[in-house]
Parts: sequence; C-alpha cells; structure tokens
Amino acid sequence: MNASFRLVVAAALAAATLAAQDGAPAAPAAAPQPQAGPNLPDKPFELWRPRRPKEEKDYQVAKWGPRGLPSPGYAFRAAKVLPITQAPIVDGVVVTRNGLIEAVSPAKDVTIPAGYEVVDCGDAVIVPGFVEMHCHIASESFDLNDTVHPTNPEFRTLDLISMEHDQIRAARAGGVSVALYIPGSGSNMGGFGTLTKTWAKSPEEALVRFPGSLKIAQAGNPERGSGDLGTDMMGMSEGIRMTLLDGKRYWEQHEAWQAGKGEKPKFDPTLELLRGLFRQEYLVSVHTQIYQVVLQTLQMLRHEMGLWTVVVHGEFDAYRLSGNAYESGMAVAAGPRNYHFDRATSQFLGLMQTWHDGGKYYAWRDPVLGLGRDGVGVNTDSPVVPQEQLTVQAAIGVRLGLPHEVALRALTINNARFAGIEHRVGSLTVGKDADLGIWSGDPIDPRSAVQVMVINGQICYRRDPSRPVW
Amino acid sequence: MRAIPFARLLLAAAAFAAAALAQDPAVPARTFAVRCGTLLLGDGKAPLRDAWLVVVDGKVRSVGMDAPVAGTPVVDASARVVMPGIVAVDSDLANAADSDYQYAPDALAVDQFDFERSQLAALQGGVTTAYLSPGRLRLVGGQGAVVKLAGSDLVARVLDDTAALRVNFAEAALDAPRVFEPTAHPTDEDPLEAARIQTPTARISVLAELRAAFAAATDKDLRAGGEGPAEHRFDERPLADVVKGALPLRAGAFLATDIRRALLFQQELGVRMVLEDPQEIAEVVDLAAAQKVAATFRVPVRFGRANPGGEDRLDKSPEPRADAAAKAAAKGLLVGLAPAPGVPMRDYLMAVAVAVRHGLPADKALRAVGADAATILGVDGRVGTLQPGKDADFVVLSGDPLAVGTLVEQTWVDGERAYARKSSSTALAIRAGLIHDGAGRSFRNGVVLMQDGRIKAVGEDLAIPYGAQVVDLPQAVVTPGLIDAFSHLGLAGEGMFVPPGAPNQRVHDAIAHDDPMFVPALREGITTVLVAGKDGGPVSGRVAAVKTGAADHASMTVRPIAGLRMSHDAIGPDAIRGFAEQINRGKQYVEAWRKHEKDLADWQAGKKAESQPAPAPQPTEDKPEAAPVDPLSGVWEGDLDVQGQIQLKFTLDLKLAGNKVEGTIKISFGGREVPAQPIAGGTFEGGKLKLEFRGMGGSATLEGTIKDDVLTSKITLGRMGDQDLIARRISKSSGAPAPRRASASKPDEDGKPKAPKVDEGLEPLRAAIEKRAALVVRCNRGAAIGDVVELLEKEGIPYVLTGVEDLYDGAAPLKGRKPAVLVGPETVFEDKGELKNVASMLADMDLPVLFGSGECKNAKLLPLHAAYSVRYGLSPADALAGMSSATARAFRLDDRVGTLQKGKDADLVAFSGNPFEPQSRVLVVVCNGRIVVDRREDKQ
Repeated sequence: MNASFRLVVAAALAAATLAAQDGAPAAPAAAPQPQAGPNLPDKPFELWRPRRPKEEKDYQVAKWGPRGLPSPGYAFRAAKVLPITQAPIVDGVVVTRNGLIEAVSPAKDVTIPAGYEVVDCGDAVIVPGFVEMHCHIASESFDLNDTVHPTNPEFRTLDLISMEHDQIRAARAGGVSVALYIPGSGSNMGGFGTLTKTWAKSPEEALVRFPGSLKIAQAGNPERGSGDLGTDMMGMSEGIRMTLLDGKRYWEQHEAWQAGKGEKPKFDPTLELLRGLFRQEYLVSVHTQIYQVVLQTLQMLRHEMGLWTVVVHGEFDAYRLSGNAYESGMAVAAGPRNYHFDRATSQFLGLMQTWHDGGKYYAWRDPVLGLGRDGVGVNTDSPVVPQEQLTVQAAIGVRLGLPHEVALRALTINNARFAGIEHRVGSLTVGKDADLGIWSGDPIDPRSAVQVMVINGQICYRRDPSRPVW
Repeated sequence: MRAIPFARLLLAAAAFAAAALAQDPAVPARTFAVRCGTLLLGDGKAPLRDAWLVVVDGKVRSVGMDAPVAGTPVVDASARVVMPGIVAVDSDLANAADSDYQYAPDALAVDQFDFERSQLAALQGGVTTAYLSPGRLRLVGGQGAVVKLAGSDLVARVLDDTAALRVNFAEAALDAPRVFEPTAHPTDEDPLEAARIQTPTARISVLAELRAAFAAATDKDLRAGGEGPAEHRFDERPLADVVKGALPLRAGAFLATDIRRALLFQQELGVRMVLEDPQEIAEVVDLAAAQKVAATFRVPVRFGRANPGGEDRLDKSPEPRADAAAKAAAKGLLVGLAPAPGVPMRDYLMAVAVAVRHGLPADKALRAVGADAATILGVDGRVGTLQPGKDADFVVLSGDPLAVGTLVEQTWVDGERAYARKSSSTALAIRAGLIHDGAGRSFRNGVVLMQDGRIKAVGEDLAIPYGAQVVDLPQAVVTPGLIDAFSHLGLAGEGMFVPPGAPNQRVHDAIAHDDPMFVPALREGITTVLVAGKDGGPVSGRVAAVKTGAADHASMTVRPIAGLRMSHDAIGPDAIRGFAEQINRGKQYVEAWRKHEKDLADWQAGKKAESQPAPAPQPTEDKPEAAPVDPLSGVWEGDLDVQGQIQLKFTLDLKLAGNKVEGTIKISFGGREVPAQPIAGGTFEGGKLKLEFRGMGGSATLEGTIKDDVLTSKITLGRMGDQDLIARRISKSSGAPAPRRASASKPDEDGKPKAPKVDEGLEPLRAAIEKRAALVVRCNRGAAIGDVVELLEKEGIPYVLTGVEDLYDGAAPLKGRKPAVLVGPETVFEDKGELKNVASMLADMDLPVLFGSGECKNAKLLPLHAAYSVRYGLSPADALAGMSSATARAFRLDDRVGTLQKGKDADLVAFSGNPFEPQSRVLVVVCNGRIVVDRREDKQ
C-alpha cells in the first residue's frame, strides 16, 4: 500500500459514512455499499432486547460506573476525524472536558474555549476508542476458571480487576478504551463479566457497568470435563438450562411482586444477578462457535430463555446461521480466528464478511441473509490474541471481503450497542465519553499505530517511537 | 467464749512473725526496681535516661526518674537499655498443621502450641508475647492465639486463645487437596465416591466462596454468594463472630490483587481486619488506609541463609517488598513487624532494623514490636508498653535495640526473669573516641575487638559480635599497650641477682608473672617490658620480653631471648676485633646447628626413602621368669621428644614393695648419659603409678597407668611443663637393666646425627643471628659507633644502639645507616644554657627512637619521660612509636606486640585524653585480652 492508496481508502470511507447517521436506516441510493453481497437485508439489523431499561437510573441490579470525572479541557485537532456515526471530517477538532466530548466539528467551525489546550495531531486520524467484546485481561493473575462446578453464577470478574499490568496497557496501545472482561470458558457458566475502561486511577473509576454480561460457554472448551461436568452437549445444556431456570423463576417472582402480585421473594445472592439478566439490564455473551452450538444458543438462550444474546468468539461454520441471527436480533462478534476454510468450496472465508452478508461463496448451499452493517462485531479473546491486535482482527475481515466501513463500525458503535453502552461510547458524539484513539493513519491498516490515547478525557498513553509497540 | 481471744492472740502472733521475716517492712513483697541507663517505653517516644522501673507483683508499678524507697531490691541495668518485651505480631511457634479441608474455623493454634517447650530462642531475642498462627494454607485456616512465652502458670500465659480468624486470599488457598470421604458401608444407593475437589481453585471464586460461607453462618444479607463449602461440616460460630465484630479477620494476602479482594471483603462485611504480610500493599495502600485496616509484615530476609526463590533467575515466585511496612506506615496504617519465616526469633530486632533500613521510621519500628503490635493483637491492655498497671515484661539490652551487635542480656516476663545470658564469650570490645593503632592509622569512634587474647579487628563502626563484653569509652584515646625498651622490672633491684657478664642466665625464668612490682607499671599502661640485668662487660646479658599483666608464667613470656646487651667503645685500628670475635663465635655456633639440622633432615629423608625392613624378629629368648612378677617391677624405657627440640630417653628401674615404689631413674639427653638418680618417692595402687624425682632444674613428677607392660603417663618436668611419656617394660627383673638384645635395639637410631652441644652462653647471639632478637650495643664514641654499625650491617644482624653520645653532634658515624636507638629515661639535657632534646635530635636524623626507663620500680614513669621529650619537641607519633611499634620492630617482637592490628596480642591502653598530656590518666588497660586495669571509677 502506498500513500495515495490510503488517501483513496479514506475517500471511500468518507463516502460510505457520509449519510449514515446513527439509528437512521441506511439509504441504499445515497450510500451504496461497494462490496455488499447479494443477501444483505433490506432493513438494518436490530438487536433484540425489548425489556431493556430505558435509562441508567432504571437499572435495579446492574451498577453503572461514574461519568464526567474531572479532566482538562482539550481540543484535539487532526487531518481527519472519523466520528463513525457522522460523516468523516477533514481537518477536524474534537473538544473534550471533564471526561466528555463537548464538540466534534471542522476546525474552521469551532471556537475553542479559553483555557483549553489545543493538541495538534497533524496528519493523524481521530477515531473513537474501540470496544473489546470478549477478553480476559483485567487481572494480574489469569485466575478465571474454577472448573469444578459446571455453572457458577456467583462468580464475578469485578473482584479481580487491576489497572496496571501488561495486557491492559497493551489495550491502550491498541486503541481499545472499553473491554468486556469476562470469566473463562472452562465451565459452562463462568460468572459475570465487567465492562471497564482500560485506564483510570482505580478499578472503581474505570467501571462502566457491572455486570457487563453473563458469560456462558456452550461448547468448545468446557467439555474438557473436570469434576462433575457433563461432557456432551445434552449434559452441558442441562446444567445451563437448570441454572437459568432458577434465575428466571426468581426474576418472575420479583416481577410479580413489583406488579403487586405475590410476596417478595427471599433475597438470594446467587440468583440476584440472574434477575438482572432476565430484566435485560445486560446481555448474555456466549462463547459458541460451530453451527450446531450456535443453533442451540439461538434456540435456548435467545428464544427459550428470552435473553439479550450476543454471540462472542463466533467462529468456524456458524456464519451459515446469519439469517436466523438476523431475524432473531442476535448479534455476533467474530474472532479471534477470523477466517474459515470451507471444504465444500476450498475457499478461505472471512468470518466477519460472511456474517455480514450471509456469505458469497455458499456454493451448493441455499443462500441466507446476512446480519448487515449493524449486526457484526469483533473480539480478540485476549490474552489469547494480544489485546493490542483488535484492529488486526478487523483488518483480517477487511482483507477477506468485509467493507471497510463495517469493520470500523464493528470496532466501535456495533460492539458498544451489543454491550448496551452505546449511549456512553462507540462514536465521537457530543455528550459521549471522551474516549479517543489518535492514530498515525487508518486504524484498519496494520502499519498504523496509536499515537495518543485519550480515555475519559485524560491522555493516558503516548507512543514511544523508540519502542516497537508499546 | 474464752477460747476466741486466745485464738486471736495466736493469729496476731503469727502475723507478727510473718512481718518480722519480711526483708524490709517499708517495701511491699515481690517488689523490685530496675535501674535503667536508658528506658524505652514501647510507645516510640524518646527514651528516659537514668530512669527507674518499679515492679510489684509482676506488674509495672511506676516508671520515671524518682528512685524507689530505700531497701527495694535493685536490678542494675544502669549501663544498659531496657525496653518492653517484644510482642511478636506473627509467629509459627504453634507449628500448626493445616487441615485437609478448606474450612477449619474451629482449629485453634493454641491447641497445637507446646507450652512445656522452652522458647529459648524467642527469649534470647527479647520476645515475651507472641501471636500463634494457625495453618496458613487453607481458605479458612483456623484461629490464632496470643500467649506469653514464659511462665509456669500455663493458663495465665494465654492472653487470648481466639485472637483472630485466618482467611487466606493468596495463592495457596487455590490448592487444597482433594478429600476422600468414604461411606462406611458402601451400597448401590450409597456408593464410594471419588475424592472430592475442594473449591476455590481459581481466584475468581474466592470471594464468592467466602461470601457464601459467611452468609450461611449469619443472617446478614451479603450482596452475592456462591456454592460455599460442600459436605464438610464445621463450627460456623467463628464466622458469625467475625460478622458480629467479635473476632477480627487475619487476611493472608501477598499480591496487590489479593490484598484488593481482601479489602473488598472487609468493606462488604464491615469487619475488623488485619492484613497478614501484604507485601504488595504499596499499590493499594490508599484503599487500605481509608478502610483503617492494620497490617503485619514479615521482614523478607533470612540472615545468613539462602532465601527462597533467590537461587534461580527464572523463579516466578513473587518478589517480596522490603519497603512494604514503610509504605503502609507512611499512609497511617497500624503496622506490626516480625522476622521472615525460618528466621530464629533471637534475631527479631535485627529484622526490625532491616525494616528501618528500608524506610520505616525507627520510632514506628519499635512501636511495631511494642505498642502497635499489642494493639493489632488486641492485648494492648496487658503488654506492649511499660506503663503502670501493665505486665512487667521487659528486656535488658546491651545497647541500642537496633544495633547489629546488641544482644539481649535478660528477658523478664511478668516480673520474673525468664532468661539471662551466660557470658561465655571471650570476646571483648573497647569502643573509644580515638584509637591510634601504633602503625600510623587513627580511628575516630573506633572499636578494638579482641578474642582469646588476640586482636580480631580494629576500625570505625565495627559491628560488635553477639555476646561480646563491651567497654564504652567515648572520650578515651586508645593506644597499643606500651613497651618499656629497657627495664629491670621483675628482677630484684636494678637487675641484681642476674649477674652481669652472664648471657647464659635465663632471665625470664627469674621473673614471676604476678610480681607485684608489675602493677604500678601496668597501671600506667606498660604491658610489655624488655627486661635485662645490670650491664657489665662487653657481653653483659640477655634481654627477655615479658608481659606485665599475664595470667600465668607461660603467657608472661613473649620471648625468652629478645636481645643481648653488649658494649663496645674501643677506638683505634682494629679496635672492633674483640667485638667481631664475639660475633664470630656466635656465627660458628649457628653454623654448627645449621649443619646439624641439614644432616638430620638428610638422615630423616634417607630413612624415609629406605623400604621398610623385614619385620623385626620376635624376641625368642624370652624365658619365663622364675618368680611371680608384679605388673610394675622391672626396667622400663621410654622416649620423650619435647617440641621437636629436645630428645630425652628415660630409663626407670622400679621395684614394688607393698604399694610403695623404689628404684632409680636415668634421663639420657643429647646422647649423653647421666648417672641414675634414686626416686624420691612413689606409689603404685590399682594400676596407677605416681613417682616423684628430681628432674630438669627442679622436682618432677610422673603419673600414669600400667597395662600389659605399657606405661601411659604424664610427666611434669619443671619448666618444660607437662609431657606425655609412654614407656615399655623391657625386663621384668629389677636391678641393672638387662643387656639389650640385638633384636630389641632400634635400627632407626643407627647413624642418627648428634646434635651440637647447647651453649646457653651463645644462645642469645644465635637468636640475634637468626633474626629472632636484637643486639643492644652500648657505644658512645663516634668511631666505635661507626665500627659496630658497619660490622652488624654487613652481617645482617638486628641491633639497637644505646648511649650514642657522639651522635648528638651529627649522624656522620652512621654513614647513612638508620639504626634504632634506645634512649631514656633522660632525653632532655641542658647544654651550655640550651636545652637539647636527644630523642628529638635522633628522630630528626630519621632514626627510630626507643624509650626505655632503665628502671625497676619507676618503670611506671616511662610515659611521663616520653611526654617530657614531647614537651621539648619530639613528635607525639615518634614518642608513641618509641613505646610501641618501633620498639617491637627493633626487637623483632612485631608479630606479637606494638600495634593494634588483627592477630596481634590484645594489649591496649585507654587514656582519658591525649596520652602525652600530663593531665591524662589511664582508664583501662588490657593485657593478653584481659582487662587488667580498670580505673574508670577512680576518683582523682
């Protein structure tokens, strides 16, 4: 790639995102999708979570982290600003203060308030901080698998977070500002994950939301079978189902009591967090990867239990369920193995691309609908893949056919929406958290690197050019 | 009715009798006072000086400056430091085992503690109270206790049997063994199950487990729970006590992430928590401070031993943080200190000192084993400080509690002395404001360390070894023990009774080690004297080097021959010939000995080279004796080799009469046979033989046992001391020794070179020629001086000049040579109205000047004579050398005396000030490592 090609890419990006406002339906005429396959849905993907509380204050079980913590006034000026949910801005400025974005606009249109420091980023590209949907990095000790009992709804990663160790520093160097830090997949229900910023003065200040999600691992790891774990799908599914049903009953009793029907159930510390799950205060993030298992995810978690369900770690041939996922409002984050070798066609398939458009190379199979622009996310499973390489995952997607614009959305607003924090992060929008990645070039280009990382309005990372990575 | 007053009368009489028995009616029973040079109260505040600690009935009655009532028994620690008994905030003294089960809240460390076992190491370290930890591996390991480490009443020794519940947030809690719980009678319905895995196995489940366990034990709604403990049943009440606030938690946590979770748990439960050894606390210290938890630290170094994890650079075990305690204390955490696991408690204070090295203020460090430690353990009402009403637990230390060489001299528990150091060490340390080592170096605030009569080390800030006797002389000036280069001390009068012109006379034999005449000289710091008789003739007599403060005769003599006094003052052609002939005689004598030594060496080498001859034929002519023979009677022969120098052959012809022994003894020496002498007396009883006879220069005794014709004995030969003698019976018939049989003769005697005759008159010259001594030559005339110097320089014989009047006019006769010159007592003369300082003049010629008193009784004045010379211009350094190093060098004594250097004899003088100031006085004199003069208390 040379510089002129990069300019072309940037121009294409600009065109692609010009009219794509957040939440507004894509207008095919105004925004042609240059690499779209034949099976893109007519309507944008819509995540299924109908019971979700409207405001943060309506949450009963989950706890939201602080916002608007003090930070200096900055005006970051760069050659390009990609707000994601607005058209790209050439020679743009992002103004931040007290942890929030105060303005995003062309430099010529903005008056920088007195006392704000102007940070001239030159040729850099400013993007939102990226959101990691599946990782295990926040603890110094990789102590996330208790693998004795098949389900552990009482476990929580919140207790383990520590802000200063190599992997979490690598997250900042990789442009990641929010991570969904979840238990391991050694047992079927590993416990509750935490949505945390990757920098703050303390874990308490870093908190975005706890629980971030319930971690369920349906297959592809928990069957290694220690203790009394079932080692086949039926046994494992039974354990998950029984535990969820306990929680569901507890939730239903609560709902009834709150509706004035029946007694208040005795407080059960183990089931309390499951109640929040059924209230759809947060999602279930499911480690599920092959066709058969993802089908089970769809059937049991999404339809039978009625949970806000996001497939993470989505790999292998499960992409052929993209149509069902689209219709059920079940989002998918792909990675860290972001390609699949299809033996029927002897083709390497990009997983993000196939989830996105249903797969162009379906050969003799019936064509299925794709999830479309808004239904695909991405994850690393760090430290399995270094946290710094979240953008590399997206780059693999682009290399194997995913539209560049979708890759950027997957890293930002899509992941944020899947996690239910799109009102806080995921785009450069006035009022959202001041999480900015200031890149030397297009973040999808593997040669680009983060120059400066801003989280909650604080400059928390500057690249040391003498070091190869961070 | 009438009996009652009578009974009262009896009671009154008994009471009166009891009162009469008491030592002093004004002093309550079981009362004593400690006079403390320095008294630390354990609260970290400045110590009290010259204070009194009064103890009544095992409790502190008072502390302060007021002396107790007269008649109170006193423990004198007026030169010592007294501090509260150390409260060990953590220990492994219970040796508590870990349960197999993750939950053992009902396991009590106090049950495992052996009260009968002596806690000597702890008492040696000054530890009087200790926290006993339960097992440390499991999630809920049990309850710790607080006990006293001495005392006969075991119940009273327990301050708290349930002091804290230990919960483990660290790695070890993730590694509990599987437990096998077989059913008693397995059936199909109740089968044998596999061993059960115990959770937690990962950190993510630790808090969940604990929440569940504590929730199960209480009504409290905890925010989240877990599966909690499985089948194992245990007493949940301690967990409930924790939640109620009745029992503190001891949280084991090393890593920051573990400490953070411990703190989270503390916050959720709102309980009292003590963090146990939170080495990485620096990263979460603000949180810990906000939650007001306390922390105990094991100072992470094992002295003088390999430390775990240190031998392998790839070792993954987490690094302990030596500054953790300092970091915690800086944020206001209550901190307790204990040594690392495996460090004996006798090194407790050294561990505390290491924490200070890493940033913990000394006052906080002392609180961390005193007041704060007691608060952490919840026993601050009893121990930790020396305040009225608290237990009389205190320690008497030899010095600053945190100094490396400080040792615990006494440890008292509840007013009873539980430990007193036995002063078995022979180490002696003199600390002084200024030390001149006599070899040109000076040390401010230095230490001379001595052991077994030798100097071990000299320097500034030397560590005093554990157990050393320490003499503190902060104002004193220490010099080597002084040497009088010419004296008659120890001899009668001016050397009378050692006649002049008799170099064969053994001067040192004429001196008694405890001659009272030594004392005045010793009190002025003179520890070595070079003794000679009165001069007379060209070769007047020997010079012996002896100590004035020796414990016995053997250790008195430094050299039997340190020199030979001669004189030569003839001038004219060939005037030196007479002197040179003397030297030549000596040289010939030395040559004869050298030849003998060479011949002997050759002969011995040849003997070794010969292959072992065929075994000597067994005596075949032994006929059975006609008469029955006792085990003793007959002829005995034995060889004696005295220090490889003198070979003696003993022939004993003995006859037993009853238990009396008669007979003769013959001692052959150097190939010469002397006539047999009758034995003065002897007995033989029960196989033990005792003989008395006249031997070498005095009476001699022999004591030994006889078995199978072999006599194993110790023979005491006057000045030669004890020797081991083994003799064999060569004939069982008394009378003349039987003629030797050919087979009995010793073939290895054949051809052995004969030693030259020992010529005592030439032995001094031999010593000088062999550079073991110096010739002291008196000569005054310039030409004579020149001749002597030329001859002795040519021959390479050590010498010292004395007299040397013509040298006052210039050094020309020396022709550039630099001989040592012995002067004194007069060194300052009035010459034509001008004062001439001979010592100074000679020193200006670069000649070593040696001071000798030339006196007997008044040898004590030698230092003043030298001071007088200093007054008129001699440099103090030269003056000191003239009484120490220069003298020792000139007389070849510098391997033993003259300087304060490692390996030299431990002889020193401590002056109250500059040694040459007339006002200065001697405070302490050490000779051969013993304090022989201690005049510190002398009133002027």
